[in-house]
Amino acid sequence: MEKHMAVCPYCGAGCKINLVVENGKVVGSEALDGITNQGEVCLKGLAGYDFINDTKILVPRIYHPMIRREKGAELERVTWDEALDFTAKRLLEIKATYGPDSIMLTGSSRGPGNEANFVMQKFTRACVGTNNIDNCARTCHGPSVIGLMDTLGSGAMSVSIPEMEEASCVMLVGYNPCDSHPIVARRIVKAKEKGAKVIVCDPRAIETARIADLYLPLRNGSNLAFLNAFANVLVTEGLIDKDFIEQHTNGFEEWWKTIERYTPESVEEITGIAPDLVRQAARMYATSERSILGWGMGVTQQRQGVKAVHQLAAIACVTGQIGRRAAGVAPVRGQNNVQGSCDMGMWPSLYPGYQKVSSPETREKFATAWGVPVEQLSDHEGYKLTDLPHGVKSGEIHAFYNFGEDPLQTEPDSADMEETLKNLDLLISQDIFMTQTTALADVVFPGTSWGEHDGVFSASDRTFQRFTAAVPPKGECRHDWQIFSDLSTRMGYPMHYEDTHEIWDEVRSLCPNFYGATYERMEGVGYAQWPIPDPDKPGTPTMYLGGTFNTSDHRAILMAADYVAPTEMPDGEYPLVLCTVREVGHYSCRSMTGNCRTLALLADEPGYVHMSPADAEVRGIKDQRLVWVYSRRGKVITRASVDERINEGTVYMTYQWWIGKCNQLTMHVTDPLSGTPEDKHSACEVARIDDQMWAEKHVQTLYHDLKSRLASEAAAQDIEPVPVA
Amino acid sequence: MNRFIAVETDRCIGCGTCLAACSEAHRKVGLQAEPRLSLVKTSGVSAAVTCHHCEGAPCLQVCPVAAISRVDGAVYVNEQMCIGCKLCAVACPFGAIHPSGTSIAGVVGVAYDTPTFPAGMSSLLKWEIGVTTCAVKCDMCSFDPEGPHCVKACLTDALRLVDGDAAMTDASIRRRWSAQASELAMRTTSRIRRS
Repeated sequence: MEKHMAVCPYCGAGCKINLVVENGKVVGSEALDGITNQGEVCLKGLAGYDFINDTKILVPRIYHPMIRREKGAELERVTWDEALDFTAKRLLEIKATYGPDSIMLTGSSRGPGNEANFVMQKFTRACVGTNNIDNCARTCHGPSVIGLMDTLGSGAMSVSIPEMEEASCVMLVGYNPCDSHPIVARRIVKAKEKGAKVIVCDPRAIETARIADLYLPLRNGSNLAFLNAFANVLVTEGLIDKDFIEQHTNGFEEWWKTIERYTPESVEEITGIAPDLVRQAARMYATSERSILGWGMGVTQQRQGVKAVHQLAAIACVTGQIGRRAAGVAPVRGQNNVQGSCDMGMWPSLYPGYQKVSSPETREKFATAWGVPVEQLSDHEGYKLTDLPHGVKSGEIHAFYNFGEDPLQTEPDSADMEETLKNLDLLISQDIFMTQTTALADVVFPGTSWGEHDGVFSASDRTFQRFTAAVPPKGECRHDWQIFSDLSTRMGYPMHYEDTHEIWDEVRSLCPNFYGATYERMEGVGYAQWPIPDPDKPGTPTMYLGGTFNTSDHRAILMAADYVAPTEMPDGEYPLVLCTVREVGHYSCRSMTGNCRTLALLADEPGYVHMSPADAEVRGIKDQRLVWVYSRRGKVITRASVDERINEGTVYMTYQWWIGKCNQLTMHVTDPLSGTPEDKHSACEVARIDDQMWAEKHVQTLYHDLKSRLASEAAAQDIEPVPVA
Repeated sequence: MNRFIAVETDRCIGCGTCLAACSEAHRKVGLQAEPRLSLVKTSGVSAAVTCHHCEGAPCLQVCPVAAISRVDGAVYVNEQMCIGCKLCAVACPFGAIHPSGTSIAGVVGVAYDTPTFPAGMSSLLKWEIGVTTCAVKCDMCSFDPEGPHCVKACLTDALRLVDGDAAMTDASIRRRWSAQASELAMRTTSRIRRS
């Protein structure tokens, strides 16, 4: 038996684990004493290793490169040389015909790690010559990145995960840590036991609401009205820190002009929160010694995601609850390396290390380092991931390089996304599984899986940690960074790296804030928290100490905006609000967790629609029965969970189910400031199904057909290519 | 003396890590993978519920084939001897018996269940063609000298093994558990009130 150090590939908590290997197979996982997890792991960390072994519970792994010689042809296994030559030729043709901006790429915020993403964006910028690179933060914490960069100068958590238990007040808005990050929830439980106050603002009575000192059940889609009222109380009750505002912020007068109008009474009808409760919460948050303000998708996946983040930042600033240990803002990132994707410049306006593509000095620096003429580096912002459907329809995007994501499962309005992917001239998918998106691809590149490669992940609180390979690559799988390098070389921009260490040193040399994060420092359970400019000095657990922000004049900018109601409100035909949420046992598109025996046993298709007992009763729906859920976009079958914790008038579904697929119901409307979909608010209706036996069989038939289709697409890899004579 | 696993509901975050640890541990030693705890969530309480290894264990008393016995203070089912009559599940006052079996779906080819009953049906009534059901219940991970895996896995130390020493020396903790157990059993209180 051997043990190999790794970092859990699921949420952004960054838990250090050992993978246990027997006879070349990963057979278990054990928690290590990492900085964030302290020897604990949740169920995904414990049982989430199984997929590496290709269990084929959900979908098979891909071991060989495959191509479709023309649109609509069957997938065909080819040699790596042929697959790379074919792809290079097609990409060069598209670039020559339509220009570099007709090619769009997305990074992977999951298993590949920072080095693979860095090489991909280098390929995108130096070889393809575009900034059309994005990552799934677009659909999750994009508004936090943008909103916090606007106001505080950096788009990450200002405090670190261990500090959560040192706070004397933790306030959560639209964030359910027990399902999203159990390891963070553990810190909140510990904080509570040490005497911290807990305030929970969420339409659902989520797990943390049970232990909350104050629970504010605000109405779905009312965030900004609520936050503005909260801010209003801070001023009217004299709860603000005048010295902090004076010395460390700009724009208070302007901010107040908007906030002044939002008394708790004026928005009670919108938020559903009694004015007195808003006042109690504001007092509790502002008067506590050290307050942490945490939020999640409940804030960001809304029409006014960025503006709500502006207000959250303002609340922390006007009360001086930021820039001290255990006082600050905590947008806890969803996927294990979504912080890393942003760190590595998988963002259409940013180079690695948050250096702007619009800056001539930055372009000069990268051009010199990468040995390309500066004119070759695009000077304008690229497309966002959510621009893809429109970009394809309008004929601006012709090729899409999908790296370890499954947009057909995770992006809103699946039917529209499917049409988008089918209408591309070239779809390249680099993955470890035959996902629904990969099944449509013209080129399939098999990457190595987490557990088969080395690298660095960035945890949600800016903590870089190393992970290592436990088992060798399977079949013909290659490391992602090798595939990008080989493709780039064939397209006329040669790249070669020996290992991830060499890539990481290049990252460090180009990003001053990451320079001190050496591989040596991150040996074993070591870590490095950015900003970390100096290899000999520790990193930065708490940002903005003493109120020094990362804006140009080091002062925070207070921003405020008026509340606007959600785009699609319930009506007679679709009387319920549909809100997409996360559930603890599965992750992202489920290709990984769905292939783990224990996790699949604990929760499987078609998933659930959670609804209040009252909404279930009027529809004649009983707990655990299969039901139809339909919206203007589509109709899916799923199972009802009649749940006392759910507010009346809203139903909740998780986005990882392939049959009970809520993204067939959601709409493609985005926050104009971030391009993030409004996944938290659309209209739907739920209907009972009388013939439950038919429904049970129907679910199994749909599930079987889908799994069979994906398995048969993957089966092409079992036919060896005929050698050319 | 009997031993059992108790839950501190204010610490339970409802994450299900105990269920996963239970399933992994038992599957790896060739026992049924069905978790031997259930997660109960009401408006005010979250708790993992499992066997109390009662002194006068009704399950043990009703078993017609003596598949249930007491081993070292814990009530234990011999999964090979069990005939799947479910009498023990009917008798259990805590709902701690999980009738379950190994599905034949996937034995030859792709796993494709052919349901013959709605999933919401009581596990007492479920019967799947080709599946031999047995009574699956907490065995305190008796195969592992290090004790119950759920207790070790719990992130927030909400689960605790109550054995002789702890129970004898810490009466106040016992009273606290007792109060919380009553709350769970009666479900009369809700600390969450919507305004």
